[in-house]
Amino acid sequence: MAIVRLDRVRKTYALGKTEVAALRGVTVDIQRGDFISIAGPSGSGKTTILNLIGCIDTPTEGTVEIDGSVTSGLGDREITRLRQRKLGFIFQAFNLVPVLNVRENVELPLLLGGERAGRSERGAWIDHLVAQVGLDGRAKHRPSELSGGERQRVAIARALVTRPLVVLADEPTANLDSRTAEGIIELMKRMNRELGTTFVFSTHDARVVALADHVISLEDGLVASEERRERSYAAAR
Amino acid sequence: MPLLVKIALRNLLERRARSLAAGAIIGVGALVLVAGGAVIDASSRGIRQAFTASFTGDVFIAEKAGAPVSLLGLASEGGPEPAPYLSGYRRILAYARSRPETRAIAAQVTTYAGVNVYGNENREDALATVLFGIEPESYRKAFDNLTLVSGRYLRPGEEGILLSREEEEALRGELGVELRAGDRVSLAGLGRCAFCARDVTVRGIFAFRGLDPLEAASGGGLHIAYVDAATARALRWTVGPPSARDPWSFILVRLKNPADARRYIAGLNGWLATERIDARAGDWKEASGGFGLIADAMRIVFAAGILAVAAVALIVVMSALAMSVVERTAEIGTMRAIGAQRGFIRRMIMVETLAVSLVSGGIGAALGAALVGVLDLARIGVTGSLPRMLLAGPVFRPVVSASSVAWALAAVVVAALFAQIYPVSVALKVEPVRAIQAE
Ligand SMILES: Nc1ncnc2c1ncn2[C@@H]1O[C@H](COP(=O)(O)OP(=O)(O)OP(=O)(O)O)[C@@H](O)[C@H]1O
Ligand SMILES: [Mg+2]
Repeated sequence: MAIVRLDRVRKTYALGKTEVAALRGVTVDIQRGDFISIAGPSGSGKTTILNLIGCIDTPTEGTVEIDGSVTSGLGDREITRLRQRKLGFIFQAFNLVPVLNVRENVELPLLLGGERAGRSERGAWIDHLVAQVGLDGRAKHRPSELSGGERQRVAIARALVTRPLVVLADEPTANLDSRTAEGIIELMKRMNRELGTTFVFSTHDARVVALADHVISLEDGLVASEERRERSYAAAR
Repeated sequence: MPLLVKIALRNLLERRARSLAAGAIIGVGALVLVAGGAVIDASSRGIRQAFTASFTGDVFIAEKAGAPVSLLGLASEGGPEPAPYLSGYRRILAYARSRPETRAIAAQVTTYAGVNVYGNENREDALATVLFGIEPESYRKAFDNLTLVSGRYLRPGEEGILLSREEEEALRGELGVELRAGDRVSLAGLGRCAFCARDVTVRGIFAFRGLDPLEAASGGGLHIAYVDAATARALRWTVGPPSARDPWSFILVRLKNPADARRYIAGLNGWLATERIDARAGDWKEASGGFGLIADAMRIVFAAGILAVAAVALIVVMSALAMSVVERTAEIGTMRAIGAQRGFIRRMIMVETLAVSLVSGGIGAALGAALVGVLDLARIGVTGSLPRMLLAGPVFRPVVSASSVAWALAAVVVAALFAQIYPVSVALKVEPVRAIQAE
């Protein structure tokens, strides 16, 4: 079942008097449990497509469907709620809230969804995630006290805390060295396997692309090729 | 602690220098409000007390005239003229007596004269003097404002004059004659009553116990002397209403509780209207001939200053907060992206603004109150008649009232609510996509 569906999506940006076509008719289906890499050269539209799926930008033409509902008719409040409930975000620059510690950063999306703090099963879930990303010893640390790789792992836990359908990650490893980068993708993959959460990430890095189950290659605002691989740990290795 | 309070407070701590700067401005504003308010309060209390206790009473009743009437008379083009006599004197008196709020009632008839040493034919030597014609017994009950330096007070029914020490000294300085109780002075009418004349016996020399507002106002060019009412009437050109044998120009009422004055005056004016008495009741400010408006003027100047300071503070605080919002564009965009509603962002910034404002406003108000306490304890001596009156007596004793603190804090809250409008609007404009773009 497709949980995300882009149908003939076009996106043009007005750049002064000229228009830039970032996406020129893209149709993509994303299945539950997918682990997808959006690949392509710079300027091919990777960020644009992730922003459209993440409902932080709107298509010029075509429709974006998340979990069966078309997003174009929704107001800011509903869109925000949809993002909070169904989507998780991992950013290239980590984007943790600097004044909150690791655990608080992970908890933040739940509180933004209006959940009251302090329920014990939820506390256990947060602790579980913090442990899963290997930061149980650093739960009280502020982001500024962590390395880049550690910050991105906090971000992964934060993206997963609401048990979203899809986690979107635009160049999650671009600010990391290649070993750390691989570790991050592997962690994402492990979470994908364990929780069944769909991941969609973009990258320039061919070695990172190689870790994906499903690669959508963009070129010049169009899907150039789509490749599905065998889903196995062996392939991931 | 709710999350947004946590975030707001930690952000304030994170940007300590800026928060402190914004807080300092608000704090100083609150301090000035409280301390300034206390001084103004003390001052207007002082001015009011000086006037109501010494001259005007809380309620001032005079016959209606074409021009403003004060205790000093009728403002007219050629200088003040005696105010007309009250046509409804007896009925007004009866009314005032019947009111339970009334503490004391005095009647007065004012006129002007040149006071000269008896036998001195040279009119140039006469000192321009406002004569307050009174009935000694009731007047003294209402206004215990004189200290007799020598001699005694007027007695009921006798003719006589009480001269101020300053006037006596001025006469002595000019003519080299020392006036004592029992000596006589001659009074020459002024203006339309230039040919009126009367000689009276000096019964006493007095000093104003409190303040001499007339001296303060005129810089000592005018004197006040007290005479028996018959003497005052004899030096007036106007005649009383045919019905009254002993006419009066003013009725002055002192109330048990001066705070009742406004209501009392309104009630009295209503009664005067229904009784068709052509008189008007006013407050001490009217009675003082607008001189009491100094208190109001000071308040207005103070308020204008406060407004100016508040406007500057507001702009500074507003831009400081807007700046930290702009710095946090990516952070706010991230929060929006991961599910923060606009309302959450709004509340977060509001908590920040209010926290800075209330904490620093509270500290500022407390420091202001402490400053006033120190000024009070310092017992600063005040010299000069006008400063004394403006600062409410020979020793400056400002007091912080709960209401001025409440006003200061309310002003701070209002300012904070205004100050946050702009930062909040900036924050609300941050789109989720700024989570990425701002980097
Ligand atoms: N806000 C914008 N305004 C104008 N043009 C834009 C905007 N965002 C993207 N574009 C243009 O749209 C096209 C696609 O941009 P996009 O950011 O999606 O590419 P990308 O594949 O993510 O590139 P990169 O690998 O460099 O991040 C580019 O030509 C870009 O210049
Ligand atoms: Mg990009």
